[in-house]
Amino acid sequence: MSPQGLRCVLVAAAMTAAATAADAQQVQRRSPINGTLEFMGAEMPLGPVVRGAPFSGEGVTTTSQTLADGTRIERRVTSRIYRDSEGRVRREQTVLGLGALNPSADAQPIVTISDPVAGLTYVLDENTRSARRSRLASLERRNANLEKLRAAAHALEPRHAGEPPPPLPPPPPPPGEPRGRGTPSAAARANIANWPEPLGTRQIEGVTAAGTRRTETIPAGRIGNDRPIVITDERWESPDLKMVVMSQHHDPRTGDVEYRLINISRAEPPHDLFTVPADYDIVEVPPPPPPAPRQ
Amino acid sequence: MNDRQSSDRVLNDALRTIADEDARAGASAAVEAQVMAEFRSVAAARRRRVRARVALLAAAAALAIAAAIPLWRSQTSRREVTTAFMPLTYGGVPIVDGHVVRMEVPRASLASFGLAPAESVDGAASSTVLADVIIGDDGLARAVRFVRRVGPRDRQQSKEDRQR
Repeated sequence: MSPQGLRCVLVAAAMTAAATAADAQQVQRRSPINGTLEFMGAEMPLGPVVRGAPFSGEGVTTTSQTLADGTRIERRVTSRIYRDSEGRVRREQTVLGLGALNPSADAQPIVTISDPVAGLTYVLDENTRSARRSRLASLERRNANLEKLRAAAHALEPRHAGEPPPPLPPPPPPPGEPRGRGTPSAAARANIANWPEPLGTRQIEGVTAAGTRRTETIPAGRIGNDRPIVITDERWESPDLKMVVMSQHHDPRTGDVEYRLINISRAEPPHDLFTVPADYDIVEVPPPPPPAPRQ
Repeated sequence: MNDRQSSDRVLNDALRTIADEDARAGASAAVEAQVMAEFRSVAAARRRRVRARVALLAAAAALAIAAAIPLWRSQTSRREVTTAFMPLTYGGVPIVDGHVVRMEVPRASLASFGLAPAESVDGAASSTVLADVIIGDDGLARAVRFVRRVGPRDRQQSKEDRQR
């Protein structure tokens, strides 16, 4: 083989090796170390995009449970949430409840930016100064997935033997239309068990919020209980912010969860909160492939 | 007869004379060397062009291979199969708004949900699987589903498994 031909083969081999190594390195970089949990990408928001209602606030979530021997377990996490006039949302959260996925990483911090204007979402990692960027699915696909996810989340709520599942909450209306579209009439509501009972409106953290309460009762004897078990969910939602500003969940079996949005500011948050810092490396996350056909 | 022989001799002499003159009229050694040098230079240039073309083709092939490998890898993992969403600790708390995030979680977590025997994942503590987690705006993780990317080879394998 001539020297030029040999050079060509070497160049080809080097390029192939480089491509393979880069690919392998990417896989290696993605892998969490020693079994910790790693956020790969934000897939999609569950709620609709809300434009024209900027705000920022601090979320405080408290979970508490008293065990049979009197031991009380209380955990509190705080988060920051920002939304601009265009509907971009930045969340700085500590996620609780991941213990089943990794007992040593039950609480995990995460910072996400959802940018419906650019059609992108980011998961920021302060430790590695990197941002994982994913493309938001098309509106049609997002809506279809959203309905599936809402149904999946709804299906997870506790059911009691012999009771029909409560109706799915109506899907959120498109932006610009008032919430409550599709609400059944009062007569129809009377026939639906656990339909949310209105609690009126009140001021919470400087915003007007409308409250609803849903009560479920497990009759005595249904699950071996010697007295009725009452589960309540109270939710206060601001029509202006289109956000829940307070919620309380009480279930004697699993404990209480309270969420409050405090220090609410209606000012436009700084734009740089919705952009990736300049010194961050951006790692592209390919969009999830379509599901495999059911066979 | 003698006349004829004499004529032939004259003719031969004349032709020899012409040949000698022709030989004397040829290019000098310097010109010949120059012509040969030019010829070699043209031949070398032609060889260089051919080699350059081969090198270009080889480089293009290398580029195509380098680009095709990651593409081929992504093509082979173009489909996903997922489990249903399964509740986490706070799965019973109603959710209004939130988001879904994709995570890499230890393979051992499959055993927590009865998706793999514990002994089969013990040795794979460092390996991971993909999962989608529903997280509420309150920061509570509600549910998880596990994701597996399958390529044509996996699909063929599962088809064969079903046929058996």
